[in-house]
Formats: sequence, structure tokens, C-alpha cells
Amino acid sequence: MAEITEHDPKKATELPEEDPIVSKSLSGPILLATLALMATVAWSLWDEIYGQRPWKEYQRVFVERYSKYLSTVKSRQAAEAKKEILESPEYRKLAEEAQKAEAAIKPRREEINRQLALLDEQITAVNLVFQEVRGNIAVDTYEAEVASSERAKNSRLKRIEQRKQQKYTINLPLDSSGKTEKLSLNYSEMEAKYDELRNEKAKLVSELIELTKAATELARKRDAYLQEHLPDLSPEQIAGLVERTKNFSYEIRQIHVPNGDLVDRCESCHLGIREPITITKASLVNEEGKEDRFSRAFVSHPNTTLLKIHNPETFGCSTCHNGNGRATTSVEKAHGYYKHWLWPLFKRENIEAGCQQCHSKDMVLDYAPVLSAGKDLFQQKGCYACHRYEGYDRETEGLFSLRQQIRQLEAEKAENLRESQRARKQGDEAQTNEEARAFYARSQNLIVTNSKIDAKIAELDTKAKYLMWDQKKFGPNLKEVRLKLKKEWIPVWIKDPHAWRPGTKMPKFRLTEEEIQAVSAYLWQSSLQGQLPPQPLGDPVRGKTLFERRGCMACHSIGEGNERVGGEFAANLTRLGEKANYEYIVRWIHNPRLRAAPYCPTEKRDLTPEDYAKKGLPFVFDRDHSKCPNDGRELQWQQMTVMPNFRLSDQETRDIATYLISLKRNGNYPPAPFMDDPKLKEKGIEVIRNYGCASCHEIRGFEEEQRIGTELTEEGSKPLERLDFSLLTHDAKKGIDPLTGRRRDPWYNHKGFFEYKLTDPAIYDKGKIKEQKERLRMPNISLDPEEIRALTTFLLGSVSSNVPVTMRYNPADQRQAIQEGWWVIRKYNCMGCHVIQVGQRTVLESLPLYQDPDWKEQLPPWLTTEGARVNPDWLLRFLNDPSLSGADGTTNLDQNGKGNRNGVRPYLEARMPTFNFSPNELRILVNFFMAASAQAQPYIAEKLEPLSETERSMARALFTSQAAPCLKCHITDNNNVKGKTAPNFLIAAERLKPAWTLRWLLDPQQISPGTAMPSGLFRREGERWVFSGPTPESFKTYERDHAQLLTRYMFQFTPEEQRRLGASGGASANTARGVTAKKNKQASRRRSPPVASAALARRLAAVSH
Amino acid sequence: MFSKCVTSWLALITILALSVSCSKDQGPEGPTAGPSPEAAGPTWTPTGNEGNITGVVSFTGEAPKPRRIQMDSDPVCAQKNPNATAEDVIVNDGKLQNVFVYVKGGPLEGKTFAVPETEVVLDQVGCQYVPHVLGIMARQKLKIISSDPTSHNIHPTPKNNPEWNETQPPGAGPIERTFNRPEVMIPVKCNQHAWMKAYIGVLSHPFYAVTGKDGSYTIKGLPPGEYEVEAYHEKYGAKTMKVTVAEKADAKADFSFDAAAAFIPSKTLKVQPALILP
Repeated sequence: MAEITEHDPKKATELPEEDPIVSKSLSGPILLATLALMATVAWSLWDEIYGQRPWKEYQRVFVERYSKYLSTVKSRQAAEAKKEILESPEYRKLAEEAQKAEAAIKPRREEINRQLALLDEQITAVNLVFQEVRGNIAVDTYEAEVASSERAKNSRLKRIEQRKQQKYTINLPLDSSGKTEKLSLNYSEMEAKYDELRNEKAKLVSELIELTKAATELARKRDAYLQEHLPDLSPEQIAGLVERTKNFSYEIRQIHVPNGDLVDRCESCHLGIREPITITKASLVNEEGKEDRFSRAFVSHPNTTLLKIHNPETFGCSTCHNGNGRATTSVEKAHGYYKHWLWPLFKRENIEAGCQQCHSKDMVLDYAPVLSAGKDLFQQKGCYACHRYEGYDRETEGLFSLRQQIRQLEAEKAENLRESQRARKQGDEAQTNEEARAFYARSQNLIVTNSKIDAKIAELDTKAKYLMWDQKKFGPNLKEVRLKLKKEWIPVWIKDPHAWRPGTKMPKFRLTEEEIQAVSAYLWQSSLQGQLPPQPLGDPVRGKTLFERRGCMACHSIGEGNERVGGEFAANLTRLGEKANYEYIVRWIHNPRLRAAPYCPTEKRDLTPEDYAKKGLPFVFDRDHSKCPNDGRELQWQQMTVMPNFRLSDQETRDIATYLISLKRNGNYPPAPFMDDPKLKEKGIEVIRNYGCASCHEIRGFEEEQRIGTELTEEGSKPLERLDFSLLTHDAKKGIDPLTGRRRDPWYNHKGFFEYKLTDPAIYDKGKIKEQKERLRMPNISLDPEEIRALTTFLLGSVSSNVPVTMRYNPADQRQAIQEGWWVIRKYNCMGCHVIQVGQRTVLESLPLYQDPDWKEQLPPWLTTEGARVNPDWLLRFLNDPSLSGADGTTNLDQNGKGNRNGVRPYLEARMPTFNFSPNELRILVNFFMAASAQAQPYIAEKLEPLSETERSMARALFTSQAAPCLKCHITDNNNVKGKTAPNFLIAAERLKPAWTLRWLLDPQQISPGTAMPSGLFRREGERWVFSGPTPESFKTYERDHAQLLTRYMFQFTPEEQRRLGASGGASANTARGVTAKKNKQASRRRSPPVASAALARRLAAVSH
Repeated sequence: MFSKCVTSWLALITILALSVSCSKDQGPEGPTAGPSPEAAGPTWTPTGNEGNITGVVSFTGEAPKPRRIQMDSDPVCAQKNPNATAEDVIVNDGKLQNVFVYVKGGPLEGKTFAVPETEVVLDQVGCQYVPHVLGIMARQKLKIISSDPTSHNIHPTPKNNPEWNETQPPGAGPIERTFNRPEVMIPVKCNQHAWMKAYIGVLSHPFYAVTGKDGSYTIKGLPPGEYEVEAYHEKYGAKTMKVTVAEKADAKADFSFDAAAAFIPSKTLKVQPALILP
């Protein structure tokens, strides 16, 4: 040991001086590494818990603020509201009734309950003994059955008998105090007692049910009233919410829709969206009482009705709103506001864009006014004329495909014919009869097939006829400019339409002076030449009145700037006198559909009188002469305009035209000799083609031009790089407004592109060096910011949808008729005069004229319940001929005679014009109105019980009594409508539906608020409605419903009856002048002298034929 | 030694972090008391130093001659009121009757006024409304009665209140309604008797009056201050004036309408788009 110790120092010196293990410490690097590791772990933990889960913060804040909010709500609104309801007279009445009923039955109920309790005890008492004996008997019986010897068996049977005979003691309770009666019963007596008690119990129970029925019902009513009238939630419901918030579970809230594999986690942060209590920005504020990002995120969905229709469990959130529904790591990611997400959340101003992908077939959408406006603008501003968009201009599209189908079918027919002849020949030469028969059969079959094809072609031809009938051009027909316009005005107009007429639909093109001249020259030289018959001038003052009152201003406006009054649907006519020829305007107002020459689409030209003369035909083309004399195909025989025919007399027509022509400022334009230059005309062809003038106008030689714009049906999902931002790409990405040069947020997205394009369609040419022909061609439409917003919304929503087809709105039932109907209703601006959608305002009711309360009754009727109101067959006839004069709706309008009036409401100064709808559109409209009121089609009129003679005279007496003022407002003579504000009863039977009529009589204000027909004419008396005023004697003994009696009377009204009504002294008949009342004395039993004037009698007689 | 230390620290931090994150998950405790319920503005009560506004509405120029109303279309009316004249313009000695004078602006804003329990009565006598012009407070009961043995219907045509139209046959009980929003004026008509017109001024305060036969009016009990007073006539439109009411004093506000300035309804309506959506 010592040796070793001795050697030790030596050995130590042999070791290297610096032992890396001993002398070099790694603590430093390890410390660093450990710190780095710690930091990483800390960071990863932090990131895992907070960084990746910003929603946790939202949930924490939500719970904190929501529970606080709930406590305030609990202590305030709900309790107060409940108290208020509990103290309301209605509730008190209900509660009192319930209480009374309860009190009335109380003694008996208590009695029954007491008896029942006693019975239960008695039954138990009997049962206890009875069951035991029965059990013993059962045991004995079994033993007897299995007994080994006859003796044993007999002994058992004896014992059974014994048990049955034996008396048992039962302590039957007599009342609740414990008093009992000692009964001594044998087995069968016991059984009888048991059954008796049970029967008694059943009887009492059923009595109890019967007894409490009324009271229970009243109590239910009382509770239901409370439930229905609580504005938001009951205190109990709020307590439930508080409880739920207390047990809030912090987790991702996810909606998974397997259909379409949609995952939306939006509600992880937007926690208030579906809360049953309404949460606003101001509800869940921070501690300082200020709104912040949390309070904004927690709001309830602003439209609960929409949410009810589109249950998020089925539709998710991002289906409508866009954004990245799966992302949870940041607000930007979740909202899709980053480079790699193609569907960023819609901004608030365009939020309705999300509706379009599923509702592309709807022209009018409830709850989406901006989108609906965008869709309407797309039509109103004529966008569809250059840009194809599915659903718009469907007539042109339809015609195109129909013509293609007809061509195919004709080719098929020719082929069949050849094949048939071949087969026949083969049959002739066949070896055997059998073979020949087969060939002949084949040949014959092909002939029959061809006749089937003929039927198909005829069907398609009719369809084509209707489509051509319905086809409209956005702008006026330019084949007639020589007849219509002042020559020198044309180039002035083309140069800058907005300068000449602000707000016009004609856009401003980027044309050079030479191009303007070329277009003018082409239009002028290609125009139809001719002379319109000269017209004498009318009275402009009368014309102005007619223009203001007939309904022209539902579409047209007059006046410029702030002075402008009227509708925007059609042109502003303020300076008409500066541009148009009087004769043409007279002809146009007389019948806007009148065309100078028919257009043949197969020959692609307007036909001339010579074409007809060659076939020995007169130059007549209209609804009944719509086929081409050359090839038998359908012609365009009318002007392609939506302007209807007002059935005005010649004099009225001239008066209005004279008034319009008088509207001018100067009307002197520089001479334009270049318009007669044939060389310029040649150049014009190229320019017109390049700018697509023929998209909106009929121009000779350009009838079959295709659209020149890009299709926009799915423009919203076009990849961003395919939208040509051109030199503005930099500005867009950096966020510079190219119009002002100022900073803004970056706009390199679809929204930005659309907005600037619509503001200035040439904007993406900025800074580019281009040939004139290469420049962007889209003209400036002069849209205001609201219009741009609406159109942008529409375009943003125009996407190739990812939503499963089953989830889109393509109803196959009546709702489809509603969808289709809106397109026609918008096409003709029906809503300029009629209220069709509840809450909508018409143009007419906003006109100064109708602000006078006396003019209220001059407004056209509401059509919100039209389908329920009228018989569809009648509606069809009416839409075809609103004058109901029997005049043909199109060509033979009896304008000077009976056609010059309204068929239903001759007292209205506004005229329901003849729109000359095709059968196709008539069907769509009738179906629309029926569907909108959920009416079954076809309509089979309900047969009403015939009136007895007594009933008829009773109804007549009521009709003419002073208390029932029917005849003060309703017309009895179509030729004397002064002061009248309601239709003639004579047309009620064929026009109305009885069920609606009854509802109308009972409360017209509920159907058409503000109507001249007052409410309260009938009051409820038991099960029937009785007239609320004094009734004639004969009603004293009448037990039936008065309103129904009047309905039946109206539906069995005849001209004969109308005469008798007058004769019996109707209110309107009592004009007190021209008294010739002798023969009416008998009928006059009332206080006022009932007399019929001779004049009235004559007038009434006139109605009957 | 050191690494051991680090490990334990690390463990500690991890546990701490976990525990913090766990405790976070439990969320805050229970609800806290909410703010006290807000009360509606206090109802105004007079202090005793109120003043009045009085005045006379005069008429300059040639007064239109009283027009006879032809009531032939309803013999009951013609019989009961054979000499009826139109009430749209009634001028006596250069003073204009039936002008509705009311406080349009001033230190009333923000105050609430008790709605009187008493109802305002509109009668129908001889097929004319009595009174022809009346004022009422919003939510105050309007009781409509008929003294005529013929049927009427009462049809107010307001712009800001809901419209209604109710029949009142002879002998029927009164109709009671309220207008809940202030509106000057609501024309009332009867669809069966085209000449029947009444005008109702609905206000949120009780400071209004209608000129009598002598064209005079008095608006009583106004708190001192400077007011904008408007006089409204159905044919001649509205005129306004600034009036200062001193404590316990009568302020004067005379208006004058001229025959030449017959009222024409506003033409400055904005152009309507082809379609107006709800």
C-alpha cells in the first residue's frame, strides 16, 4: 500500500497537464444548449397553448363578459317583461278564467281525490287477504293435480272447498282517521268486493279527467300566452344560459357537413352567433364599457330569419360568407385574408354575394336587397347585352338552341327519307316474302318516325315563335333612324350621351371623331327610308296631364338634375323635342310594337312589300301573320321593345306626343354632311362590329351579331392572375388608389378589380400604349357608388359553386314558378305601378301627384295576394286584354272605342296597358301569381249554394241600405265612374275567388293596408259574422252568416240584379235629382227618400248588354 | 450538479406552465353584478313659472268665397246639412281659422311629457268632421264618434304612423285609436264622402293650439325659453317664427298668410329608381 502511495506523485506527473475531463468543463455549452432547449420547449408550449389557439382567448373573454351580461339581463329585461305580461289585462283575464275554472271544480276534485285515496287503502286491505287465500288455493289445486292417489287428491279438493267457504276477517278502512270496519267474508264475497272497489276507482278517475278538462285547457292557454308574449327569454331560460356558461367547455366549436365535406370552426371565436339571446356590439363590451375586437366578434347573427332558413348545421358558415372555415390559428387565416386562400370572407358591403351561388335562378331575393339590386342593374344597365350571363336574355339563347335543334331534326328527317326509300327498294328486290316484309316495315317505320319529327318541329316552331315574341333589345331600333331622328343630332349624341342627357342608359364609348362620323354615316345610310303619314298637332297641356296621369311616369322621367321626377326604367324625355320627329312619336305612342318591316331570321334581312307581292300576299305582318312568305319560318313582326300599348285614342296620342315634342331647349346642331358619305359608311361597319353596337340595337346587317363581352356567369371565380390589372398591378398590391393617387388598403383582389372597372371601364388601359382598335372597348356607364356596390356584389357572387347541387335553390314545385315569374315581372317593370312584394314601394306612389290623400285611391291595386284573389282563367284573359272589351290584345286594339279604358277599374286615371305578352309569358305570369299565393292549379271553382229568393232580396236590401255603403264606391255603371273607387260587382263572379272575397269583406286592411275599403263591416257573434251596422227588417230572423250571404250574392250577381238594385234605391241611385220615383214607392221603406233617376236607369240598362 | 439543477428547473417550469394553462381552462368564477337598470327620461312637471304664447293668425289678400258642398251623393247628408260649406279656408274679418299652431323646436327636446288620460274626440256631424283641425299627443286616445244616421269610414293617411281605415255604421259605438308617433299633419278622410276632411297634428308634447273663428290661439304653460313656433294651414302651408317665453308672461306670435300663396305640395321629390326594394 505504502509503495503505491510512494509511486503516486510520479504517476500523476505522467498524466497530461490538461485533462479534458478534469480541467475542461462543458458546462457552458451545456448550459447554453439547455437554455435553448428550455426556451424551445417554453416556446413550443406557449405556441401550443396560446400561439396556435388564439380562440382560447376569445372563449375566455366570452365566458367572462357573457356571464356578466347575463346577470344584468336576468335582473332586468326578462324579469320586468314577465312582470309586465303578468300584469297585462289579457293575461290577467286568462289567469282569472283559469283560476275561476279551477275554483269551480276544486271542491269536487278534492272530494274525488279523498275518495280515491280511501279506495286505494280499501283495495289494499282487501287485496292483502284475498291474494293470500288465492295463493293458497292455487297451491292446493296444484297439489291435487299431481296427487299420487285418489285419496290424497280428494283431501286436497276438500281443503280447497274448505278454504273457499271459510270466512276471513278484513279490516276495511272507513276514512283517513284510521277508523275501520271489520268484515267477515268468504272467498267469492271477497272477490266481488275487490272488483266492486276497483270499478268504483275507475269511475272516479274518469270523472276527475272529465272534470279538470276545461280547467286544464284554460291553464294551458294562460301559460301559452305568457310564453308567446315574452319578448326574449324567460328568467328560467336565462338561468339555463347562465348555467351553461358556468360549465363552458373550452374547445374548438366545429360544424361538419358531410355533404360537400365542409368543416367550419368559425364558432370557436364567434361564440354569440347562435345564442338565443340577442347580443349586439354594445352587449359584451370590455371593462371600460368600450367596444373592442371581442365585443364585435361575439355578436349574434344579425338576421335570425335567414339563419333559420339556412340552418348552420346543414349549411355551415363559409358556404355563405366565404373565408377559411378550418383555420384556427389567426383571424387573418380564418377569414381567408391571405395570399393562398382563394375565397376571402366577403366584406360587409358585399356580404350578399354569398347568396348568388345557390340562388342564381332568383331574380328577386328576400333579405338580399343589394344583390337583388345588382341583378336588376345587370338587366337595367344592359350589361347582359354584351356579356353573356346564364339566365339573362334567355329568349336569345333559347332561340339559338331551338334553331339548332330544328336544323338537326330536319337533317334527321332527310336522312330517314333516304333510308326509307332505300329499304323500300331492297324490299322490292328481296328474295323471299318474309325478307321483303321486313324491308317494307322498316321503310314504313321511318316514314312514321318522320311524321313524329314533324310534330316535334311544329312544337319547336311554336316555341320559337313565342321566344321571338318575347325577345327584346336593350336599346331602340336603329333601322328607323331616318323616320325617327333629326340627322344632325345623331353624331352629337354618340359623342357623349351623358352630356346630352345625364343618367341615360346609353353609355359613352371611347370613339375618335372619325369613328363617330363613320357610325353616324352607317346608321343614317342603312336606315329605312320612307314617309310617315302627317299628323295634326294636339293639345300639349292636355298631353302633359295625360302623360302625368296615365302611368307613363312609372317608367319615364321628366326634368333634369334635382327637378327630375318619374321612373328610371325607361328614358328621360326632357329634351325629346330636340331630337325626334313628331309623326314617329305619335306612331310610337299609338302602338310601340308597330314595326315598319318584318325581319326574317333565316334570310337575315327585313322583308319588303315586294317579297309579299311575289307570293300574291298583302304586306301584312302581325301576331296572326307571323310566318315568312318565302320559307314559312317565324318572323320578327314587332318592335323588340318592352313598352306597352296604352290603348289611347288618336286624340290622346297626339296630345301626349305634342307635349313631349314641346320639351326642348334649343335643338340646333352643326350640320353633318359626312353622314351621306358612302366611304364613311363602309368604315362604319368595322366600328359598329368592333364596339358591339348591335348588342343593344337592331342595326341593318348586324342582326345576328354575337356578344362581344366576356361571359360573366362565373367571373367571381376566375383566377386572379387572369384578371388583367395591367400596369395597375403594382398599385393594387401596394394599395394606391389609381383615381386619386392616395394610399388605401391593397386591392389586388376580385372586389378591387370589379370596383375600379365599373367606376372607369378604361382604367386598366392607363399608361398603356395601344392601337385604337386594341384599346379596352367597354363603354362608361356612369354608375354611382351604390350601383357599383350592387354590381360588385353580384359579380363577386357569380362563381362556379362548390356547394353540392342538392343544397342549391332549384325548387321543382310551385316555388319554381315564382322564380321564373320574377324575371318577367322585372322585365316589364310591373313593380313601377303595383306592389307585388310586401314592403316594396312603387314608382307611382312616390310621384308628387299621388301625395295628395285624395289621390290615394287612384293608385293601381296591390298584387300581393293576386293569386288568392282572382280566378286564373280570368287573369289570363285580363293580362291578354286589360280592357276586357273583347278587343284582341295585339293588333286590333279598339283604341277609339271600348278598348280605351281599364277593364276592372275604369275609374283609375292610370291605365293598365296591354303588354302583348306571348302565351309563354302569360303562362309564366299566371303561374307566378298562383304560386305566390300557394294556390292549387288548375283552379276548380267552388260551387256556391244558390241564393233563395228571400236571401236575394235580403242581400239587396242590405246592399242598398244607408248602413252598408257598398254602392257609394263600387261602380254600377262602367260609363259613369265619377267619384267611384272600386270595381263593378258584375265581374266579381268570373274574376274573384269566393274564399278571398269573404276574407276581403271581413278585413280588407289586412290584405291591402290603406285601401279605400274600410275594415269593421262585420262583427263576430257566436259562430257567425254579422253586419256591424243596423240591418234591414228581414235580417231579424236570419240565423246564418251575413258576410257569406253577401259573398254568395256577389257571385250570383247579374245585370238584371244590378238593375233591380238601382231600382230599389241604392245609395248611388239616390241622386235626389230628376225624381221619377213613383214606381219605386213600394221598395222605399227607409228614412231617406229612395229614388232612382231616369238617367241612372238608362245607365244601368246600358251595362246589361 | 448544474445540469441536475437545470433539469429540475425545467421540470418545475413545465409543471408551472401546465398548471397555469390548466387553471386558465377553468375560466373566471360566477357572474358579477350588472349595472342598475336605466330609467327613461323624467316626466316633466310644471314649476309654476311657465308662460304662454298667444297670437292671432291673419289673412291678407282676397279671401276665397265659401264653397258650397254638394252632398247629393248621400241624401242623408244633404238632408242633415243642406247648407254645408267647405272648411279648407275659413276667413272671418281677415282672420284665418283652423290653423294648427305648435311648438316645433326649443328647450323641450329631451323632456318627456305625461300623456293625458282624457281622450280627444272627433265627431262626425252632418257629414263633416268636428273639429276640422285638432291636436293630440302621441299615444293619447282619439275617440271617434258619429252623430250621423249614415255610414262613415274613418281613413287617416299618415306618412309615419301606420295607416288604417275603419267603418262606422250609424249607431255604432265609438272607435278608439292612438297615433304613437308625432306627425304634423295627418289628413283624415272618408272614402264615402269625398268632401269630408280632417287634419290631426300629433305631437310628443302638449304645446299646440288651433286658431278659432277670430284667428286667435293660446299655447299654455310653456317653460321659459326660446322656441320655434310653426303655424300650419292645410291650404297655405307652414310658417315658422322664433318666440321667447319669459317667466310667467305671455309671449306674442302673430302669423299672417296671403291669399296668393296657396300651398302647393312639394315637387322636390327624388327620382325613383325603376324598382324600390323593401
